[in-house]
Amino acid sequence: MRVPGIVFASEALLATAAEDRALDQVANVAHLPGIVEASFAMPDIHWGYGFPIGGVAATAVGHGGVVSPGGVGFDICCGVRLLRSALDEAAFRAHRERIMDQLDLRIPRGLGKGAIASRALLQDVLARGAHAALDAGFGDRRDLDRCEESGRSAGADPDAISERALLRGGGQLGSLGAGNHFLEIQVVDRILDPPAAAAFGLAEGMVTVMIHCGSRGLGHQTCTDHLRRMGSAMARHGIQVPDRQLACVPVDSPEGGSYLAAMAASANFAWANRHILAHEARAAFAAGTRSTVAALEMDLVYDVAHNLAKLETHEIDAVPTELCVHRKGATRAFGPGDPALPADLRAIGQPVLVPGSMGTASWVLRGVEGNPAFGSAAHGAGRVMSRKQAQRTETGRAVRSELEAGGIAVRPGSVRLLSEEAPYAYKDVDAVAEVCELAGLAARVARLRPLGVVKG
Amino acid sequence: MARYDEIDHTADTGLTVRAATLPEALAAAAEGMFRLMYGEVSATGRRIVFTLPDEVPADLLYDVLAELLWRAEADDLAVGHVEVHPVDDGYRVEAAATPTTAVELVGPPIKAVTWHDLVCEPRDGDWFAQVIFDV
Repeated sequence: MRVPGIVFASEALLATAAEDRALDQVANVAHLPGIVEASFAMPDIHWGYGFPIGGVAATAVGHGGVVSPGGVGFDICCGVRLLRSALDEAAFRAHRERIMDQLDLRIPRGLGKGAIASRALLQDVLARGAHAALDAGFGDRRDLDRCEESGRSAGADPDAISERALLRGGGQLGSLGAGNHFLEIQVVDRILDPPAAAAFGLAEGMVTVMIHCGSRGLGHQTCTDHLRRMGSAMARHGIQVPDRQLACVPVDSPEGGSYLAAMAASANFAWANRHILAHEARAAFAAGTRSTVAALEMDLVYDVAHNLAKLETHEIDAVPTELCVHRKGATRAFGPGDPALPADLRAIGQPVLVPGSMGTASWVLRGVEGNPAFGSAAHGAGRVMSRKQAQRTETGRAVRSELEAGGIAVRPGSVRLLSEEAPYAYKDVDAVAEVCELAGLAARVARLRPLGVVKG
Repeated sequence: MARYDEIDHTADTGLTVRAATLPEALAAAAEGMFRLMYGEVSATGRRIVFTLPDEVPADLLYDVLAELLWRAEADDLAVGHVEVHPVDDGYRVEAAATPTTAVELVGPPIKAVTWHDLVCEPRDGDWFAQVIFDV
């Protein structure tokens, strides 16, 4: 190991992390060439492949520091978008079935299911992200202000996306996907930081909409293509890693540059994807409530990525240093004063969105000064059991019944697979959010309780 | 007779395979990958056929699975029976397939084949293969 491994966890969360191979993976990541400070693990850490889910690692650019597609993940720029609204819980429940029916119609989901297939729009999206989607008639210009990277990753090169990736995922723009992807309707259950909540546009009792998805098959194939390429290139660069999924090359190598350009283009797909889905969600709510998008005030609170590598400047031994910061199942969480934040949030800190499982809570936190992990925080609740174990525990029908008995409307892509995403398969998200705060990663702002979910 | 077993993985999924020969192990892994997603697939009407150059066995396993996964998703297909045959300098893969509209997803949707813990080697008189998939 070139650096130590540092896990941010309570005793209970650490005990869970030690049950699978997540901690071995923290140690493996610490072997990456050019890694600085530590191989970090967020409170929701669990077993991944190569990097643990919840892993953060930064490498020094130009000092042998590497970029590893495994430190980003196959679902490049998977992330979460949160919308506020003018509705309260009673208003949602009065129109619930119509809203859910409209979401069912307007939110494509499932494996391989596509929405928009225009190649011309796709090329523009790969170059300009959410800006291209806006110009194509989706969403609102204000959405760009409240999106990480303003909805457009710099350095994107559409030509770096392979034809295979285009064929696989090009027709999937504007779709949720499957697995643990979702669109959830929530109510602000509790405010812990009133000034931050007000700055974010949140109030107790307000209905919110959270969308979790990424770059679909286009991103998956891009990562696959580049992992294969890097696996072959590593020997030329004299690099060995303890896990082939940690395949990597120097950031400033041709292969590294090619990957970052393709990653950024894939990220642009994801920003646009969530931008378009938010547009459709607004339309669904307007139709379901027989109101208008303007009257519903469904403004974007924020959109964060949790699978991305970024070139950022951080101080290493008091020296500003360009780093390639990998966040794999970890969210950027910049504190107050950071110039990357929108002007109206700069004094407060960046919103950090941490979805829990179906049936439990989600959290909004804010970035804080002095974050010990290159401005990073948790991204979710983290799994505690395999999908197979989850299916053996309860059937999808039983999980659906329990959720509906708890007042949560469910529109699954597959009833059978609901059990894989059941609350008992995940860590306690309240504990994850609390540990983020105790560890100085991010501070809790608001707790969100689910009212309805559209599952991929 | 080749057989596969599912691996319990916290966030993802995977399988192990035992077969008498390398081609049978590759075919069993490929069938297993789609069975994890769709269960038993009575695939008719479509075929996926391709040839891959010879590689070290683990890399060959990866390439067979990754190629099938890409072709299947690009054409919205679910794969059933798979055969792998040695040909000059490589292997020919023939898979029976059906549109995904004809089947139901019964397991986690597989996004990619990973290199993590990838194994394909002779073991105790058989061929043993192990692969983890990203879901």
